[in-house]
Amino acid sequence: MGYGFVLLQDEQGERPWQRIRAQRLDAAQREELAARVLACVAERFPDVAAGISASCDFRGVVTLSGQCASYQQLCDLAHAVAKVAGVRNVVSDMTAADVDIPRRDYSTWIAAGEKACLLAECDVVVVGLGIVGAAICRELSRTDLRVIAVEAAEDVACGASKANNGGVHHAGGVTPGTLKAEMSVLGNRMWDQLADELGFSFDRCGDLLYVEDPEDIDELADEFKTAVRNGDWRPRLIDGKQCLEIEHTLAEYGHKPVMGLWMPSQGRVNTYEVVVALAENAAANGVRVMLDTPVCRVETERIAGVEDGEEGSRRITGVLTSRGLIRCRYVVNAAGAYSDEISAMAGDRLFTIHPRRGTIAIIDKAKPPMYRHLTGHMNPEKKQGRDPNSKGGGMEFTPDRNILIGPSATEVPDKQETRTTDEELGFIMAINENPEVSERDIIRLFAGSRPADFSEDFQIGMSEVTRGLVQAGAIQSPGVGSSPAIACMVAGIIREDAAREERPVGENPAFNPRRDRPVRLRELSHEERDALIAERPEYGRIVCRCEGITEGEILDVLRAPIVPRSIDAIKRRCRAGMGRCQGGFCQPRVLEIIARELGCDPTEVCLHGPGSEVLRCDSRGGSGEVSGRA
Amino acid sequence: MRELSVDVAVIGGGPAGLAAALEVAHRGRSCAILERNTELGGILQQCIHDGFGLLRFGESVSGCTYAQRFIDRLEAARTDGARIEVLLDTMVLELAANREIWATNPTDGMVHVRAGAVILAMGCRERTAAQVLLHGERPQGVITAGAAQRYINVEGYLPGTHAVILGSGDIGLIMARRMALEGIEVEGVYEIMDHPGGLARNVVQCLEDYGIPLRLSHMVSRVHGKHRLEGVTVAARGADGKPVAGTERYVPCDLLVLAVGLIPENELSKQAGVELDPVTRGPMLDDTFMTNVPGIFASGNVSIVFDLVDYVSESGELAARGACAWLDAGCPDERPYLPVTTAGNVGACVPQRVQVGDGPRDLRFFCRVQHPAERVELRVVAGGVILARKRLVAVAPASMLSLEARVPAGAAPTLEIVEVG
Repeated sequence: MGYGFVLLQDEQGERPWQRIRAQRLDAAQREELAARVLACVAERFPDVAAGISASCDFRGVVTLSGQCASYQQLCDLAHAVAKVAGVRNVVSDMTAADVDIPRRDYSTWIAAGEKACLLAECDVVVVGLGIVGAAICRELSRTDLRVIAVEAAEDVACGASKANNGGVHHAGGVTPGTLKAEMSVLGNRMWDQLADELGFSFDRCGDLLYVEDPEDIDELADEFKTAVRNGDWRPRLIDGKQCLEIEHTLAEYGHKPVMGLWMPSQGRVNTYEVVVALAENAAANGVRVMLDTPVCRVETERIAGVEDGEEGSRRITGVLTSRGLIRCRYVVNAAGAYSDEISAMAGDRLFTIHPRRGTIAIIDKAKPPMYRHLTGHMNPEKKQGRDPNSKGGGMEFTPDRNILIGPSATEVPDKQETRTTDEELGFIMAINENPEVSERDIIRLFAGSRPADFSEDFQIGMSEVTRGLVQAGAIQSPGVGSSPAIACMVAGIIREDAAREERPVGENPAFNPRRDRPVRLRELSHEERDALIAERPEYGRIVCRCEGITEGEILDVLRAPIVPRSIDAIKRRCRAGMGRCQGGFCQPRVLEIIARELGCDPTEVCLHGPGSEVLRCDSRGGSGEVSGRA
Repeated sequence: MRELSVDVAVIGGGPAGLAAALEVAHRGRSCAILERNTELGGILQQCIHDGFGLLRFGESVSGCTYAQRFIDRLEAARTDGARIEVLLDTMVLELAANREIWATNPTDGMVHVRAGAVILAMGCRERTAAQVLLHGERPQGVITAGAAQRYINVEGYLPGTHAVILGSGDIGLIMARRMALEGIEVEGVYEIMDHPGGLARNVVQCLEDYGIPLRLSHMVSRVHGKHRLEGVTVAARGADGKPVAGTERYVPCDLLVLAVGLIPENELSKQAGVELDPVTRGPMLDDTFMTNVPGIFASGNVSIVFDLVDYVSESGELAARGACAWLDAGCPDERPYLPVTTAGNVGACVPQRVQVGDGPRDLRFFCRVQHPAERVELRVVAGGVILARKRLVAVAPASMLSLEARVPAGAAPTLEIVEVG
């Protein structure tokens, strides 16, 4: 396949994750697999097993229904089923006795979309503009395909992409043989070029994991072997002295490493910054971006002679959005937490997303990271009680060197729920290893949800059920680092399919891989600053005191290819309001600039999308209603 | 690029900076005010309520009026030839220990200031939701009292219709009244401590007079709503700092105003190597309001959060006199010091140390108590001798106490609170 790179192969000359995908089951085999699934449930979850039923499709995708005692049990049960030999993935129709699992109601959008007429026609609709969707758009913008990207939220990077710790991961923590491992290793190598082309901050900081107790060396060696098996870039087992050479300050904090694992491939980005860069470059290269445009139905046609739900039984014809119908040949499903629902809308029930919430604390820059590299103590005891499906986070930092602590890992039934809790704060502060840092130094506590499926692997590929549906769903950690490779893989799948359909994909002759790095005055010398301000006086007016962001920088982002419309969208692009006062001083100024530049009334300016208008009404003669003024 | 050379550079044109600049000019020295806003007056310009100036002018005026009186005096002084440069819309980016300043503004580009002495007058900022660790989603509708004040008083917009106020600092109390006057339903003020954070007069005039309940030892344990605030859960605060089970109550509201304390803005000070006092969170100051960095002085809320603007102005004048005296003395690098100690109920205090001196000097001390008390005496004591005393019917952490004492050379003063019954 023309992915633009060589995929990993194991000793048998094939890729392990592909083996299960190639599996096809006849009716008897399906029944047999469903029976084994139920046997597993009966053994592991005897209290609820009687109420659970299972069915199995031609690929070994098992659909479970019935009631579990709790939501946590539902997750445990589905995870256990996913591990039964021959099960490709798990779709859960199960309910939990302790909680209602909210379902998104699409009816209002469908009604609005049906009322609207044809919105557009194109070759590919990319659903979702998180880091995966944006990377795919940028990759597809190299081609002559007509691409439209639709995003349900008011801005790009509004789901998991805005609430993670920005790791471009090494491959020491992913299971060998998974698609995750493969994408992670391939994606990791693409970041230097990407950062150079797109002008975002990227810090190839490296990761040093060390042990102080000789008994823990085996565990460290295991991670080393994992990294090597996965093909990670130059992992090295080093002795205690070498640890101290790489990270001088370890000794200052009284640590005595006896052995370490040095993984120079580890990097750090601000994920939202990368998404903006990717999406802006894609837009500049011809991709149409539609924000506030949720997909509420995927239009397909049935293939004559094939029973519905079986292999190749449908073909994509378009998507219905709240703004109308978009006709297309391909739908790329990069819908993150909702990727299972988009897939199901297209007739392919392949997986279920069970959001796993993670809480992260950002620490005031006044308390810098202890180490130059991402350095951590491997303590097997500390790992006890952690979620087995998440790597569990730790002490990290952003490219701007704000310490990040977290994330935690909590299964939550609601995809929209990203609240913080006292328990998770407690978990985070227990991870904290920096003696200088306490709860008092937190400038922002936030949470996001990992869009995890029960196989705990990425779902990337052409749908076996619905031709033209290209999956890029269930992308969780290490999704950020993997995203450039995922984009290449998706583009390769479309190119290959189009060639088979005898409509080969051509190149975009006008493609420009470069996006200028936005002007950041705080990075310039006094002379450079002075010269720029002479050209544009707005660069001389500081709006955000804490981060030193000027009015000129805010105007720049408001004039970019994808126009941000909310205060948070501005914050993600230029850091205004991201500092220690959290917009206390600059929010009114930013609001005023948005209203002036976009020509709207101040009461229409939102913090983060419709319904979050900052100002309710004019206190002097306004109509007294939200957005009441013309 | 603009080059500027002055005797004294004043960073910040609020009440402290204005008073400092006037005093410097009064002493015949040149100065420049570097003000980040487009007008002088600082946060006073959004304080349209009265209660300012009782000590200074013997009458109660609004914040804007108080500021304007200083601005008028400054203009008059300039007309009379005082050498006061005012740079508006000018943000200081860098401050070095050698008193070299880099600032930026739209007209000059970069501004490079070489100053004989520097007076820090940057004021303070509000603590945010992260610092009180509000749990829940992050909806619109949770804003600081200062931001609410700016929206309502300066911009002319209402940020909500039903408000809950967390914290009973003075701005929160003032905003409770302001919002009530603007027709916003104020459900109550919730204070985590067992005593109000603001002045007693504000509790009476802003809450009691308007029937707004003050709930002490209470906290907001959760905010509800995804895009816009829908309500908050309030609860009694237990001894462990956590909500007391069974006391939780849901209060619907679309605005949560935070008045949870102020923090002196010392980011520039830290750049210059100024040592901070963990109690005041301002610089360690001597009796001339000089920091540990020779030639860098501090005044107003950057040094300690004051309660009355009158004290802020006074501290600006003290720092200005200190800066001029230091320049007159030929910019000495080393001065011998004795510590100021505190005893009893005394918490934060400035100055934190005094010069050994070569004769008795009249020094001004400012301090706050740690917990409320009644019928006490504030004293300055040195070597077993009471240098100054002031009887107080009641004291509370919200009120700044101030006392002048004649301190003999070589005496290490102690500030103490004594119960007198």
